Amino acid sequence: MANKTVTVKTSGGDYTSLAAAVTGEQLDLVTNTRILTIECYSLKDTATVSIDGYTTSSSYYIKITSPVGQRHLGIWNTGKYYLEPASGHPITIKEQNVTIEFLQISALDTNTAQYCIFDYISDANATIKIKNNIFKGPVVDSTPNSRGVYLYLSAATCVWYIYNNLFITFSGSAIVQDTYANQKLYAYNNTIVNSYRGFVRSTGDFIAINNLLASIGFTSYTYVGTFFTGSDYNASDNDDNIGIGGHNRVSQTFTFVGASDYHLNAADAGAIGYGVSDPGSGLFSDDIDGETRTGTWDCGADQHAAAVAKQDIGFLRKYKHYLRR
Amino acid sequence: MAEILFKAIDATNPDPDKDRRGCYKKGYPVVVMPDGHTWGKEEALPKFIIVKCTEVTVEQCKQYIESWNDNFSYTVVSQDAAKGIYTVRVQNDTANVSGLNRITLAKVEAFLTKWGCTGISFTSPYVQFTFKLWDVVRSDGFWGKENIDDFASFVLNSYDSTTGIGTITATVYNIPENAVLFTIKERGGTLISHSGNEYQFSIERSAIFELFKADVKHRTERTFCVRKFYISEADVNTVISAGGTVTLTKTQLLNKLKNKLTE
Repeated sequence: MANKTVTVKTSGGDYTSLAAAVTGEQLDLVTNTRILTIECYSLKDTATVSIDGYTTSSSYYIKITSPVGQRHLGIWNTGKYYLEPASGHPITIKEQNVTIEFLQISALDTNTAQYCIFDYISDANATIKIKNNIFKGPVVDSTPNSRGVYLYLSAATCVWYIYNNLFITFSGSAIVQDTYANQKLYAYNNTIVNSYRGFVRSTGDFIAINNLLASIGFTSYTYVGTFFTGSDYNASDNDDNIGIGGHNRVSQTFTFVGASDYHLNAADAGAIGYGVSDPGSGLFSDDIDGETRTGTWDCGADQHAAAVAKQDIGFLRKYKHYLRR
Repeated sequence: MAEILFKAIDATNPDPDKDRRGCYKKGYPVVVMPDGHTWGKEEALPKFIIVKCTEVTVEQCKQYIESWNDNFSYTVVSQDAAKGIYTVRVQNDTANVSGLNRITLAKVEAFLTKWGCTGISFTSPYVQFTFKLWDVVRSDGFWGKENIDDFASFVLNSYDSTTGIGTITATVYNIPENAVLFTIKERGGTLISHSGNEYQFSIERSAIFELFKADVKHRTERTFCVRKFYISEADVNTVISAGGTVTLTKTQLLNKLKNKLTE
């Protein structure tokens, strides 16, 4: 059986919610030798999604994406697809092989904690990729402890790759690796802004490289726990250090393009050129906008105008998002 | 004012647990949309049927698309508050009438042990255990760390049995300072002083018990079945025969919806 692509659209598509698409396509993907791609087009989706009931493998997996032309451009945009349930965790992953990319997901419940991506994988050997998404929380405060990605259950044989994502305004943490979650987590080139905490690691291996953490509400909780060997090249605007690696930068001044546009401005002196190139050894080469990273990589989800003198084209970079609309 | 999308065919998985908790069967409701919703091409036969009901709102219908989840409740059977010792029972309030999804020892024993509980036993429909505050506050569960004994030692400085407030000194090794401070705060404690690797904090017994209950619920509660409500295969077949879409009154809809908890 061939690979299959289905669409989620307001009208004229295969489905009108991601939840229905995930339900309607439930199948043994391995036996049917199928990669299932679910493409989300511009709409506000309010139904919580639980990815479960499939059989997957590293070759036959579930990919949830927005197609080119339908993607956010690194800025939260209600004109594009966004998943915003009033309550409940927007996406709960119980399957072993899932990629979620180029989505906008918000957790705005101010009464009960929501987790944009909730790991509920009870099976071994999972490979999960969370990339190029924007996650948005309710407020910058300690309650209701909302989280961007909450690694809760998956075992030591599971691997999570979380890269090129933007996390905004989480009342809890951007990424949490919880007590009973023993997986290996690679967090590369994420930008976290205005969240109460940054990264929280309890038990598993948490490798953080090239991340940018700005305006963390509880300064000493920018990085919580002991991070794994290899973590390095992270940048924050406070004095909390991740505690491992010789190239991390603290007390930096970041300059973004705008108040709610977290692309790096040409004037930035805290993140541009301070990352390490290709931290994932070939895993990815783009930035949150899907643009190829060249030259020395920057910290965070956005790669500021690469391979060209930054100062010279800074103004183009600044306006590229408007030009592309 | 609402339209409900129901599965018209079974999804199956060879793993019986996954099949029950994750696979949508014929007659399971999937999503609810407002009246007049334009459905997608696949949101129709052969995969789905649509039930329209103008007498119920989307909000009213949302309860029918909930999963059948565990919901543990606790009962304190006896207590010696002065010593901070409690005998507690936990049971699953969402076992159905036939006893399906009752709590089992296997489901909670590991987590109760992590929290330092002792005397754990099972007598259907509940699990009973002894909860000692001093054991709990020194447990892996409280600190969120495996083998906490290898990383910390504890001294109980004082315990006021009237107020239930204890003062504890934790001497911690190889755990970053911010992780210790994080845990004390998350667990409802108040830091009194901190010098080197010694942390003195106070904590109130009800905070510990509430935290324990919340954590065990959080850690052990699962989705038992992907949906709690469903309509019968016969009713689905009737809608299929009618072309895949039917309009029902509120009374007709409620009569067709079956609750697995009452079976």
